[in-house]
Amino acid sequence: MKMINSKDKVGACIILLFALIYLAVTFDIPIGRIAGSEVFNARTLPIVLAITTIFLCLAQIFMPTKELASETISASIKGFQWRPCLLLIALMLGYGLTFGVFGFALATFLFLFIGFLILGERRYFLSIAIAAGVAVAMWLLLTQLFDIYLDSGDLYRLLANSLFAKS
Amino acid sequence: MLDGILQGLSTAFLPINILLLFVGCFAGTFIGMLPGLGPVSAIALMIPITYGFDPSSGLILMAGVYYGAVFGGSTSAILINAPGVSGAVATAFDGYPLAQRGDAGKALALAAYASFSGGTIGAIFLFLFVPFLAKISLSFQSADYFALMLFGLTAITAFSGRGQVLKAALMALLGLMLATVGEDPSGIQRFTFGIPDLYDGISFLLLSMATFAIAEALIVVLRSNTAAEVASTTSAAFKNLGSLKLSKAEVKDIAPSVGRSSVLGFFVGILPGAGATIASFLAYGMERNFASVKEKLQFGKGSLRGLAAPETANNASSTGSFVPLLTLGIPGSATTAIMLGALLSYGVQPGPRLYVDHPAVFWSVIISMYLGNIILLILNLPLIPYISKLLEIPRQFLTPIILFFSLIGVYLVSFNTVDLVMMVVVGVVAVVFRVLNFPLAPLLLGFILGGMLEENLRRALLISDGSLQFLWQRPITATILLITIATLLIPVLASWRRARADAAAGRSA
Repeated sequence: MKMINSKDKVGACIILLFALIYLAVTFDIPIGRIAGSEVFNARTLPIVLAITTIFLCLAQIFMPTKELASETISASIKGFQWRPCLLLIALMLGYGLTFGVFGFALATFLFLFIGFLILGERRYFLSIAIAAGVAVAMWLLLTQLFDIYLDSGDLYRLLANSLFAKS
Repeated sequence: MLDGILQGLSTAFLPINILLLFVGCFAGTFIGMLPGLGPVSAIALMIPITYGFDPSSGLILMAGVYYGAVFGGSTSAILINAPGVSGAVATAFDGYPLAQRGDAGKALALAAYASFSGGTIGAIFLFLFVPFLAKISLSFQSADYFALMLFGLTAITAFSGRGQVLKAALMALLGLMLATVGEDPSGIQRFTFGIPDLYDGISFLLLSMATFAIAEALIVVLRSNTAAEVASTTSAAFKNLGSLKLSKAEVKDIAPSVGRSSVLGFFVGILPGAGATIASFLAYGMERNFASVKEKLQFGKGSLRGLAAPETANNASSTGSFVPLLTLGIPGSATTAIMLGALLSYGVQPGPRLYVDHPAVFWSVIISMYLGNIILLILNLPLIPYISKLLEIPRQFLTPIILFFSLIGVYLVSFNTVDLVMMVVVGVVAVVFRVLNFPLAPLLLGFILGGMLEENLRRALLISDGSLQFLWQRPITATILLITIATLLIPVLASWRRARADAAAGRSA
């Protein structure tokens, strides 16, 4: 239980797990017969890094540490606001996944507006104005001033096509 | 050399570059003031904007952002006791008590003067040392570079603080491992799992933005209760800044501290991994030791010397940290690591050849650093009352905007939405490490140096026909490796001495 609550040891365990997987995958790196006989090939550094990391992780895990009660994981995360943080992470993932559908301007507006709401802002008109202002200003700056192409999104193309077809 | 300086002067004084320096100083001050966002995040946010710029202009903007962010960090340290950067922690020791007793204006003005002096003396040293060191480093070979990179990684580990050495080493190794993803120097794919988005490796910008900008913003949200408490206790300092003037006696009193701290700060800044935090704490400690018994009592309660020393040292060390980058192409801090990444993306390889191949870039950056200090003084002194108001912008608006800029910054480089998803995943992992108190700067430094380290090691081994003799064959390599070993042993010996002292204290009790 004490180990699960220790920042140093949990962190070292995470890195140890990564290093073990990394070491296992290292042996899948393709090296030809000639390269394989060379003193330094594509596997050399990864193997050295993985073994050094595993050794240091084990040292960190098994070394006695004097961690104060205030420095434990449970003490550190006490009072953390998990809900808005997790919602923001989901919002960012949503932004990445829907960018191609909504396009830059709409996806950005929605991202900012929902972000303001998640963080407790309840002045809706002000939030809409700021979100729309930032999205439009950035769109103008990037497309008109820096001449950068920004995806207008599948939704826009669909609407534009259907409108064009009607007219 | 004179030709290079003239080229640098003409580049630095181009109206567009002066404008960029102004914009950089202002944007840097603003970003640096926000608790949780420091120079690393500020510069990372600038990278996508500067992709279309020529290298000199891009670097000039970043130099302005760097200095601005360092000063901005001090502003929030003085006004709300929340240092925007770790280098400003020591500034808060005496800056905040000064603000509490109604001298916020004087404290901010002193911070501006001290930063200017530290930056100026640092820039003069840079001007004198860099060309000389660049000439020496022209004779460096692969083995020396390999040893130097090892030293850089060791130093950032050794200087990471009590109880952090092993954790910093693990993070540096993690960075080195991440750097091996993608095509190796011989063209073989490693750790790509057949995913085309990984063929070119993990994007440096993605990693830096995720580990610094996104992780910082999410941490601030996680700890938002504390931030609200801080904001509510500070409104008094905003309303009454007081006078910005310093008396002649006060200037005379702090002048020697500024001189000493500038020299100390610059040389600490040169050391890879040491940086502004160590420089500012050392300068603060040094001034306390120099102070009389009566003055010593004032430290921590609003001493002007206690404020001037760390402020001077952190700016001088920011300048000093450019020495290894410009002369050897090796970053000594997370901030210069980001600048190295930016330079590489411009197609400019920093190092001894930079001085020869791109004299305009080399000198314009050095000259811009000095100009940046002047601009900061011009910009910040009259604008202090207004700039400090920026701290009152509600966080519920700022955080999503910061997240948006971080995401779109990475998207604008690759135009690949997969990068956005990858960035969020890396950001979440970075938050976990931040909560576990594992430092992220060594990760970034390891990632940046990974490719170069492997290339130089491979070349050195090829030259020495597979023998490890290259490690001690050349005096330069052997000397650097000896320093590396000594650097690694310092924290080990210090912890052994502490353990012995604790044991002795236990016995006597």
